Amino acid sequence: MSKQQVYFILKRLLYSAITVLVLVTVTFFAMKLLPGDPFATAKALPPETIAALHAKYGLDKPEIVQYFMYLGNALKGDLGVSLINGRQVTDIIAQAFPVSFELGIRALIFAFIIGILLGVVASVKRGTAWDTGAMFVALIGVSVPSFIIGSLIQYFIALQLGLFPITGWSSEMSKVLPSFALAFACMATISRLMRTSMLDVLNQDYIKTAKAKGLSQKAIVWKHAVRNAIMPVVTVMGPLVAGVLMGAFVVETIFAIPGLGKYFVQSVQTNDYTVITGTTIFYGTFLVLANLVVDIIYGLIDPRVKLTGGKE
Amino acid sequence: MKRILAVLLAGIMTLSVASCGSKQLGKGTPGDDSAVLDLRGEPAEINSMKTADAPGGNVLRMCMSGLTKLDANDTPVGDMAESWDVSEDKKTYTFHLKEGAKWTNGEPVTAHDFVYAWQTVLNKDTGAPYAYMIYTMIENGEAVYNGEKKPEELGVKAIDDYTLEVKLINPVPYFLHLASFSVFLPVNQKAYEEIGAENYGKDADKIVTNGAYNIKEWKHDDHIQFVKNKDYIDADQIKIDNVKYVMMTDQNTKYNAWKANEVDVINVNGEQREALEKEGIEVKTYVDNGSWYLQFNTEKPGLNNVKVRTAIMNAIDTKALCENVRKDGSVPATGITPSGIKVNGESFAESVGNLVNYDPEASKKLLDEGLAEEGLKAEDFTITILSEDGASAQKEAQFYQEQLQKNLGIKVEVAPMPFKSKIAKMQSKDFDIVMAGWAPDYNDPMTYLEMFMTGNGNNYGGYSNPEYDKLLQDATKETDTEKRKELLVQAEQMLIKDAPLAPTYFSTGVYVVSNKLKGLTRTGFQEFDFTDGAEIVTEK
Repeated sequence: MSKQQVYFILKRLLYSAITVLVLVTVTFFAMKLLPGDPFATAKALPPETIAALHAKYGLDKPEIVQYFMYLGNALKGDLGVSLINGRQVTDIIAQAFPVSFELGIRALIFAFIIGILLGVVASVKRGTAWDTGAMFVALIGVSVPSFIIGSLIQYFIALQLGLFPITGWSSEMSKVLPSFALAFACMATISRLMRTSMLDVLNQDYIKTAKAKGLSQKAIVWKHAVRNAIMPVVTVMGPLVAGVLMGAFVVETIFAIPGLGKYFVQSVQTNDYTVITGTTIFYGTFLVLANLVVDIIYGLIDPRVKLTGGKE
Repeated sequence: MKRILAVLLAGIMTLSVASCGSKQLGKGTPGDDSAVLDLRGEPAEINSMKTADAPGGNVLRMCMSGLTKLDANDTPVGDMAESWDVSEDKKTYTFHLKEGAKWTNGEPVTAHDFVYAWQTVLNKDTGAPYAYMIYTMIENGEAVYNGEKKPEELGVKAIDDYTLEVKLINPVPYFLHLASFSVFLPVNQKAYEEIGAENYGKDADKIVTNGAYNIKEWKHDDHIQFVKNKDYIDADQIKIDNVKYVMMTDQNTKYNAWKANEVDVINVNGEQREALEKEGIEVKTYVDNGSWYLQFNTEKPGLNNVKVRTAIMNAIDTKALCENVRKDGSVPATGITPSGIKVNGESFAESVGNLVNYDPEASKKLLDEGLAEEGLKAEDFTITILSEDGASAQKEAQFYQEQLQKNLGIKVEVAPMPFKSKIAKMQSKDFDIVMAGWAPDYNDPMTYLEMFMTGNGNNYGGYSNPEYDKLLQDATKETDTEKRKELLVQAEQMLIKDAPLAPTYFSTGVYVVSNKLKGLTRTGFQEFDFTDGAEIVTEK
């Protein structure tokens, strides 16, 4: 790795840290504007009980003091305890995130392989029934939300056909449908992108040269075309990873999967301040790093891209 | 392409035919010594001193044993207590505990465990939401809570290891019922101190219990696995060895899981109930003691007039609401206290009688009279109904809107919002009418009536009637149970006449059970109870 590359990565890391800090700050003060109290229930608790609970969790201090206390603790790795269930936020993340992560990774692998295949097939067999079929699947994937896909495959494939369990995240079988439901939209994006990009590449002169050299169709497509056509797909992988990991809440609910999506959404509804900021910091950091990694991988795949911040 | 499609279709059809035969609806989960039930969500924490949520209460009922427990009819019977004596003034209870009961750490269950738990609840550092239940009821409670007296001065004493004396501030006719409630459960001091207050009840290995079942595994947001506690003092009455509580939140998922025999018990909604009944499945119901109503802001112009409020109350066809909108077995409300609440063994609602009478014409007349008194006219009168943002709440709100616009000719708007926002609006009195509901803490009308006393934290609409307050205060001091009941009946009649609220319906729990599970208790006070003789019946 050259000196310039190290400099580029360090600079990006610094930007990432600033991004996360801004994110935390905005989230912290915005969530305090949420109407309602984390301890409010249908039955009003006596004011002295509410006051005691606020004192216990430091919510009686001025917001700016709470903010700096929170930052100080967060830097030490202490994200506080949930105001709703009393568990350490770091424990909640440590228990729930691996499940969401596995679901996301399975979905991504699913999406990547099938998406690339569909895109390649559609472009090579352009104008045939294969092309129409593949793009029809892609159109459904892009336009139908995951909760519909999830509910449909749960009903038809799991309940009617009995091929997979309805709920849970334990056996390998139980992981197939949720991963597929989550992968669908992502797969559709990849296949459409791949098709366009392949069509572009297949019209390039060097492909014609390869054909003229007498190379087989297989070799031309997989050795020469795909490697170049895949670049735009890699570019969108960062945001796609984000989409898959953040969009899991619905799929997790439909298949009763104990992932982190629930905490990310419900903490806002229940004013669980520590969980709101904790999950935001966590996801924020994760996404910023995912984008950084994609940029670095990009440079590795395509030697034309230099990791120098564009000043060559 | 066509050939592939044909093969695929043929395969799917074969599979569908095969699976139809193998899936018996209502057969239940596999295993003849186990049952699976939907807990409807992750419990907050399993610490009896702090639990305030329904899933947490359901888990505690499985694994903890208090002074009393409720039988299948919600009547309190001895659990850790063998017997009890009540003093003449009904303010001192002396419980005699069963000897030989053990905690899961091997320690004996003694009267000291109750004293320790109740004192710890009153320590503000514990953060117990239900602390007020103890401090408003037990002698010196408030002073101990506020640090003016020492914990030892609280009116609960261990006379010896197996005798517990409790001194109440006023006679509480439902105290034995309350003694089964989570905040009154015992805690093993050694275990609590070893595990530490901050960690206690957060995981399966961080809780020490004394009840019918032990928690074997707690996979957060997924399931809790219970196994029968062989050391439980009444272990011979427990017939199912393994019970699993799964946590599902999506209503369709539950329904599919039940049909696929992945769970034995689920609650269903109105549509699912209709679908199941069409398939010939028996759907069960129980009165869950939920009382639902529209609460008025009695300080708003127009709504400050009792005639206007009464007109709104009697302009809503609650029968149509239950039959066409809710469709889940809910029944039209007759007052604020639902039919399942009993006083001296009789339904309190029956003693009170029906206080709500749907009559659109009379209501319209009354409304015009009331508005005229306030210098207003129906066509200029606009009110907003606050509702929660769930689909069923919004549907209900739209029904009220349609009824009031049609029957009274006033303009009604609906403002849906998240639960916590709704509560915030109620607390700041920033509403006209709010859709509210109440589930009882104990089996007595007081749990509903006291929230409309002047200054009560739940009296969001600002209702105040000194006569009403006095009736309730007298009832609190009254030792004669019949006289007390009469005072409460008068109070409820006065309340509905003053109409700070418009009762709408008493809710019902609707559920299906697989054929293998019998004898599960479900009532308004025990969402699930496996300890009243629930058993597995295997089909021959």
